[in-house]
Amino acid sequence: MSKKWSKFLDAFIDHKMYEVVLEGLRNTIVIAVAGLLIGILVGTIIASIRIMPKYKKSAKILDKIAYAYVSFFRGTPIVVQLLLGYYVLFPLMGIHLSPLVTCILIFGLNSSAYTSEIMRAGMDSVDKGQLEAARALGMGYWPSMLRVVIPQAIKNILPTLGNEFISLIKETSVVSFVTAMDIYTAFQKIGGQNYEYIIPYLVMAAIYIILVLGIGALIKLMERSLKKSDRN
Amino acid sequence: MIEIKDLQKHFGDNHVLRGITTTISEGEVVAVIGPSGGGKSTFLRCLNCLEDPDGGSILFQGEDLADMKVDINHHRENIGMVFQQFNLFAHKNVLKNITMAPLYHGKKKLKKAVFSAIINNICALFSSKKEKTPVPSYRKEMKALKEEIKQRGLDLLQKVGLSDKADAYPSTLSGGQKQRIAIARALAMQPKIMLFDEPTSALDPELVGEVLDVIKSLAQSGMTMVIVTHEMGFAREVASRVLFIADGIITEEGTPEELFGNPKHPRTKQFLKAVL
Repeated sequence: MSKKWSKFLDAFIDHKMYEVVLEGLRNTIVIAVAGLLIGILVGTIIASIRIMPKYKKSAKILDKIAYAYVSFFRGTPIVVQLLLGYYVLFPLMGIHLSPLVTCILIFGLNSSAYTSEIMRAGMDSVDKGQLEAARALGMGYWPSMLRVVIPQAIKNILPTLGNEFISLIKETSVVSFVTAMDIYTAFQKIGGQNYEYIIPYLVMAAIYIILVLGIGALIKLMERSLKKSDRN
Repeated sequence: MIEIKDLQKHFGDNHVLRGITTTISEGEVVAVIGPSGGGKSTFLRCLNCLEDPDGGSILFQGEDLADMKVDINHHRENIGMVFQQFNLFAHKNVLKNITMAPLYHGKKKLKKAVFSAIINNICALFSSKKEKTPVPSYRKEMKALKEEIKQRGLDLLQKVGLSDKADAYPSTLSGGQKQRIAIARALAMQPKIMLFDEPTSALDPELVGEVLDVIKSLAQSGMTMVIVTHEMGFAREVASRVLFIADGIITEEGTPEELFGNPKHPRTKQFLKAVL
């Protein structure tokens, strides 16, 4: 075992593989965080469209589009979406994006489909009277949603959003399909140095666990500070 | 001030309002009474289009609110509403509850003024006829606006007797306090008319008095009000006119003395006998 350790350390330190790991770690976090932010933004818009009162024809059409969008991103695996984006869609549109940017975009859009459903549940959990009160004060639908409903909805769904973030972190391990560098690719490389995979993969698992536990703690902190208005 | 003509409303197959016609004049305090499910609250909620009327017209400030093309938000600025369930914004403290909407509208108007001044000046560059107008300083005006609205909020809090609660969150308040804040919130928009939707029905009996006192003093200050209520004594005391709505129509209306003292319609008699 100690021999395996020394092989790992040899590759990790002497062959400067820690730089690769750091780059992978950075990319994993960047993809997950940026993906989540895009997801929340787009997801909130989609959720607002879906619970909008359907008087107007435009609202009905928007709702159909939103439904199709959510169905597509929930109905296909993330790997398929990555491959479609990187090798089919973006090249066809004549856009050249780096693997990292492609991953951020695709993960953002994918996450927005899930976030929109989470957000919709969150908005439903906010009392209908809150929106009515804001509307009765002469504020339009979107300003009312933004200032009154969405802040309360986010508070209600924070634990679920945390889960979404955690699953995003873990899902990023497939970005090697489009040649992006992440934690998995980094440790794959370390193992490939001397065909010794046991230790690198164990360390990789440990890093994922530490990341996820850290996020969990962070969410707890945020929840506590947002509960300010509930305190008696 | 508001002219309502043949107001109709359906909920599915349920024909809730079957043609309500009445005029609410300035300074009038109109109490709306009647049996549950008779359409009182729906009538009130139609006045600011929280429920969209299916037919008829509501003339306010020279426009028909029942017309879906009207910018309803503009008119709602002038129609204050107080709900049975208070509906205070749970994530904002009391002062922010009161100042949120006035700040939003003030900011919007200020932005519009700055924008149109800039556009005007750009046009003036190309035409000699137009005069340049001074562009208001957004930051300066905004600061003054914030200060003014905050002061207005604090004054209103004092008026409803809750100055010490400015920083409290709604969840820490009693029902009576919440409703007084809700009244202050509606007043902060400086509305021309106030609508009350059963303002005391969700309160403990001992808290009803403090809310009614606030409404009473508001009535004495000359505010135009429409109050849907089950408090017959209160309606009798503050109202200048009482509407009895049952089965979607105004069955009977008159001064409190007439309606409570000498009801004519059998439906009114039956109702008053049951509740008094």
